[in-house]
Amino acid sequence: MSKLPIWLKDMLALTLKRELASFMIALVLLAFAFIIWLEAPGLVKKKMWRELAAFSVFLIIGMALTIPQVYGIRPFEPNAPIETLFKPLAELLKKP
Amino acid sequence: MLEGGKISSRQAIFLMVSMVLPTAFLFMAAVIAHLAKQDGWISLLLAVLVALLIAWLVVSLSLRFPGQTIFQFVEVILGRWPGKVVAFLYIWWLIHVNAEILRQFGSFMVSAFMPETPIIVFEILVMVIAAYAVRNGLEVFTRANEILLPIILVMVFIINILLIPELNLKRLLPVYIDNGAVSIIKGAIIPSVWFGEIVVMAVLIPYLNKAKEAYRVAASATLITGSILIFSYVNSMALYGPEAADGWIFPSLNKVRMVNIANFLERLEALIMFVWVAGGMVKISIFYWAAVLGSAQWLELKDYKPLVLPVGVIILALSIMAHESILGLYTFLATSALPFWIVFQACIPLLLLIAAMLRGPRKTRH
Amino acid sequence: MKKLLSCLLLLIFMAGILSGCWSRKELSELAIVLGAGIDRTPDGQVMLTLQLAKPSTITGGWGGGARGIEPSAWVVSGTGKTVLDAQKRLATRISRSIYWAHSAILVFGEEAARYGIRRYIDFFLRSPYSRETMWIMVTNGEAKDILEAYSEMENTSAQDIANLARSRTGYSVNLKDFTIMLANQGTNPIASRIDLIDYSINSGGLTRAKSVMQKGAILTGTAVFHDETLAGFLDESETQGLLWLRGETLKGIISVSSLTEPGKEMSINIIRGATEVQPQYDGESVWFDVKIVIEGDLWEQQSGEEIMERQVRKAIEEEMAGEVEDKVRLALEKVQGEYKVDILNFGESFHRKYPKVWPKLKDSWDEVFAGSGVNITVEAHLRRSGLETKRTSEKE
Repeated sequence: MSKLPIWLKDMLALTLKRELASFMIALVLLAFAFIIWLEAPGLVKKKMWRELAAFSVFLIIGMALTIPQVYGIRPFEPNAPIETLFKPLAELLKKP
Repeated sequence: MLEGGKISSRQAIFLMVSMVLPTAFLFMAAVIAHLAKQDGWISLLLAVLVALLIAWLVVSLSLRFPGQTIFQFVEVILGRWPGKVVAFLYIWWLIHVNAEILRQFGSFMVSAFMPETPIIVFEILVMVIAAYAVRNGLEVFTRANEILLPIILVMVFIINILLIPELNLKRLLPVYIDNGAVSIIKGAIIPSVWFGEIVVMAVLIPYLNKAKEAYRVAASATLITGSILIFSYVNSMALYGPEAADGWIFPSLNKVRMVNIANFLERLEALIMFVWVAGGMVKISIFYWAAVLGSAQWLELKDYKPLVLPVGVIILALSIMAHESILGLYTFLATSALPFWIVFQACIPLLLLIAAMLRGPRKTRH
Repeated sequence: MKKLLSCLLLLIFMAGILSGCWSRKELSELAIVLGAGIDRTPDGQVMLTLQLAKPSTITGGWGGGARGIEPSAWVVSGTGKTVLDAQKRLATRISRSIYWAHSAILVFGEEAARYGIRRYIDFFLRSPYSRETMWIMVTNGEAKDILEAYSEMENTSAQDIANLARSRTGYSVNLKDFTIMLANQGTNPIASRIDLIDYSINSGGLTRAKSVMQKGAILTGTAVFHDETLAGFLDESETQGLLWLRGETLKGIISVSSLTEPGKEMSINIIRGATEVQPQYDGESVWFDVKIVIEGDLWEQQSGEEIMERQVRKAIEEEMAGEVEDKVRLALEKVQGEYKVDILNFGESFHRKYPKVWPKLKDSWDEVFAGSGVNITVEAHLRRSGLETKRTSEKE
């Protein structure tokens, strides 16, 4: 059991701890399914393959960002590179 | 055609005003007061000047490539692949800004009105409506804005007027000497960056009815927003004075709570809520639209509509991930975000303009 | 079809959310706070006293004879390490959720005020539910007692006190202005002072003539702070002088002695006035020129002077001016001499006129203020005399 990677262990621990998580994840997956149901058939019918591909890629990125958050895990820190890059200028602005 | 909509100059002005006004109106007094105290109105004047420069820059750049959005002409200037890189950066920047705005929106509703509600509820609500608006195209939310903005302006006006009994203009003195040029300039940086959001016009200009009027549109929007903000700032200072205004997160909210006319007209916080919900909605829609349109153009798709929902999910997810608490958000927006945004609002357009000028004289219209 | 379904889902979703389901507050679930009091217990804890509205008695309107004894508010106290902590303890006794939005007054007990008021007001500024328009008061004793007081005119003492404050008979300050004064370096805060007075109430109908002693609230002056700690109090005359010095609420009644008939008085109603404070600085010492202009109507005359005559009027005006100057000097003495704190906004005036000198003086401003001279000039005008020119009851 302890051989599992940490992030997976975290996910399982959190799931077991709160059944709320499974309710939330069901809602989220339902939302994604709803989105697919809204868009995908139309695209397939119109044979807009390129658009379908783009849609899928964006949606997968969205899922990758959303689903871990349901479990409370933040996939990555989006502002960290910005903050480190602009740190000196930021300091300048802090004090009057 | 990806986006068939065309909007008039007046609609464009309304759109740009709605873009900058709500967030600035809500947060500005405290942020500027922290740096420039009672001289913040001078900072705002400076910011308007800077904003006009940025607006001129963006419009000049865009007009060299009539009918093309920034995502398209950047490829013309820099070549296909470098252009694609820059375009991608812009798409990502638009999504990032939108995530921040969304978070601000939710934070306000939660902190000020309904603290027990999870922030994501508000965010989802807004995004769903914005997605619907964006999916229906530019003209749709522009026309909605034409109705909403005047109401917003009336609210802002009412709020400021009703406070007159509580004002003390002497709190604005002494001018300049207390703070010095450095503080005033520092205080001008934040509003400059807010005004700089006018760079979105680079995506909007191709869809104007009369592209030639773009200069007028940008300038008018900046001046209108600027005057409203200065008026509001003077009002806040006269109400609270420089020291006390510093601590609030939402100074406009506190301002509204002070309104009490004849013990009858009070507790008008709903007015502020309206300004924020309506204005915030439009602002999010604009950035959302620009990001989705950009993505579609970048990938050379036939239609941007399918991308609306997935991009929405990404924005939503980012807004939650980006900050753990409102204080982190506030600090980020007051410090690191500013230089970061200026890069996209002014630096890159400037470089692009120089590159475009080097490439050769302006093309003749088609 | 798709559109219809999506619309429907949206509507259902919105209907649930728009009412604010997490943050909903049903009226019958609320314990409405009318007024609050903060005291400091001997062991350093915060005692929070809340006056809660009792819905039955308020909606009942003008009750019958039973109103004499039955209080229409419920007063509870709880202690804790912070205001919020004390509120939490109270929540275990109150059957509803505490709702601050109607709280009109905030009273500080003397101990709490002497200890330092900044730490106690933070909660009220930070919480989105309480309002910055609350009236701030200090009492000579425990805030708890004030909230437990009785009111003749209103349903509850909190409303009573709030109305007193609103009428501005003395000095009234709300939380927002108090905070500004606290944050500002050129001035120190002041608040109204409130005390208890005994009432005798006749209750019961004809069958039971019972006399009950109750305590009611009364505005007795002003509390003076040195930054956040209480320095002392000003009584009513000194408060009047204070108001004139600050240029606020220049209305009021002043009484002057008759010139021709000693022992008799005249009362003049001041309708308007203006105060101008000019700071002066010559590089070494600071002094202030204060000019007060007042206009009044003669509304009561015990003596029989001929006010139709110019000299008489001039003499009365001089008396008025003298009276104002006396009160102002009284207030100044207390403030400069005894308490040594600038509560007159003189610091701010100085700051505005000499902004370059201000940074040097601001840290020790209260001392500078205490040592500065104040020149007072009062100009009084007698404009009207009510409906009579002379006492119509005079025999010719």
